[in-house]
Amino acid sequence: MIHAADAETPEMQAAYWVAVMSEPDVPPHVERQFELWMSAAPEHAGLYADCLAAYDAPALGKALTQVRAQSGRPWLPYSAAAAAVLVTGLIGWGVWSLRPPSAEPAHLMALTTGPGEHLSAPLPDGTRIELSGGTELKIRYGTKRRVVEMLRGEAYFDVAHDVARPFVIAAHKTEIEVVGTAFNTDLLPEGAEVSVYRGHVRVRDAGQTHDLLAGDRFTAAGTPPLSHFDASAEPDWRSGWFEADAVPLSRLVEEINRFSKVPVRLRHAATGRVIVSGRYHLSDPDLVLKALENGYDIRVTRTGDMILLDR
Amino acid sequence: MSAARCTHPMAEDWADLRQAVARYALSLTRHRDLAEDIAQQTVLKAIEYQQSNIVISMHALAFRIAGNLVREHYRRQKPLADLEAASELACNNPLPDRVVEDRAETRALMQVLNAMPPLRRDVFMRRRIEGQSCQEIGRALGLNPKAVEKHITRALMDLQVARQRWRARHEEGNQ
Repeated sequence: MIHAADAETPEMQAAYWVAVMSEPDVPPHVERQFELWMSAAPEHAGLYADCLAAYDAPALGKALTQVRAQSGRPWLPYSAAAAAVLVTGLIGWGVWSLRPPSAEPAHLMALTTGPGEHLSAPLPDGTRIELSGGTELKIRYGTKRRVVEMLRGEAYFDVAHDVARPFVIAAHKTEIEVVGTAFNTDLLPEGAEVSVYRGHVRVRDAGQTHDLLAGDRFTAAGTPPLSHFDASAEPDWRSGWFEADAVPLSRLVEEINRFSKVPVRLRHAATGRVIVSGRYHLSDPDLVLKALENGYDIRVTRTGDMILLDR
Repeated sequence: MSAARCTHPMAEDWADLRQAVARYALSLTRHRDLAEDIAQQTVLKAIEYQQSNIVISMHALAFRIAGNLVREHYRRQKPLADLEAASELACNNPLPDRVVEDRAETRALMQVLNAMPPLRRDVFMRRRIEGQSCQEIGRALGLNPKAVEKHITRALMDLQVARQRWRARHEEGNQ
């Protein structure tokens, strides 16, 4: 137990600096203060080394995951649908821990949502994946890597830090590698769009590597591929909204289809190139279509099994 | 003169830095040669880095490099964790008693975590596992960022003390 009286021991200062320097973003003036403290006394560097080692110790990562699993309390409030997935995940985990550690792949799971569905999936390592409608993921947890293959759709990942097992997402030709972070991946026909909400993500696409930090967005085949967005707000679809900032109609249709039970199609490709802007309430596709009719002169035709758009 | 020292550390500064990094790597790997090797590589990489970049804190840079090297080492080691590979490449692999040792360390740390006030544990988990900033943690748990920082510092103190105690006891037992 630490009392206020000995709060200023060098050991405590070292712990304080480990706390400060483990921030995801350390501003330059703080880093300068840290260097001053480090050179202020010969024992500081050693004490910092000890404390940082305690923080980085793989045993601590394991201890934290186990304590969290024992507490039996969900990490975040989950929806009813997610609880079902949590059970599936935990059964898979139990089977895995009985098997020899070399068995690879260790943990296999497929997650799928239909149009309009929304699924929050906590994984046994503390990672949480939220699937938007019309999304399909294959999850392979091995001893070396945690791999999620994104086949279609859009998902929000809140990835648990595990230095020994990098978390990798394969989305078409784009590969996204993560270290403890939260981000959104949108699989568009042209490729993936990756938006980083927290931490640090490395994207490999078309032979190029991009390092993304919070607020950075990568769009495959985009010109330019890198842009910025407001990372303090949650992804729109998690609340059922889509903020269109001068996007082609084809993109908005893509988003509508994640929510609409009846598929929406463009009669001609040219219609898809119409540029639209505005805030659309995707969880009510009829309302979005009405807005397009009124605002952009888009003709909406309902056939038996689909909705056709043209102008 | 002192300005020159800031941007181009002298030989003895590199030696001090190297020593601190070696201490960090040894504490993590418990393998003296490996720790020395990591410290050596760290200093070389840091020297190379500062030739083309502005470095505010050489210590921060060095510990970041060393952390990556240790992680890389674990990553390379992990796939060889099965016994067949272990017998062939014994020198690179955790020995069975080492695995037992790691588990005991995990248990010791779990005890500390379980004894912590739940709020502090929650704060610490958000930082260590999720990599959240003080700002984010504060927003999620209704604390001000300074209070979050204090919780992380105290949690670290407790864990660090327990880990040192555990290591001392363990090293005694080995002799």
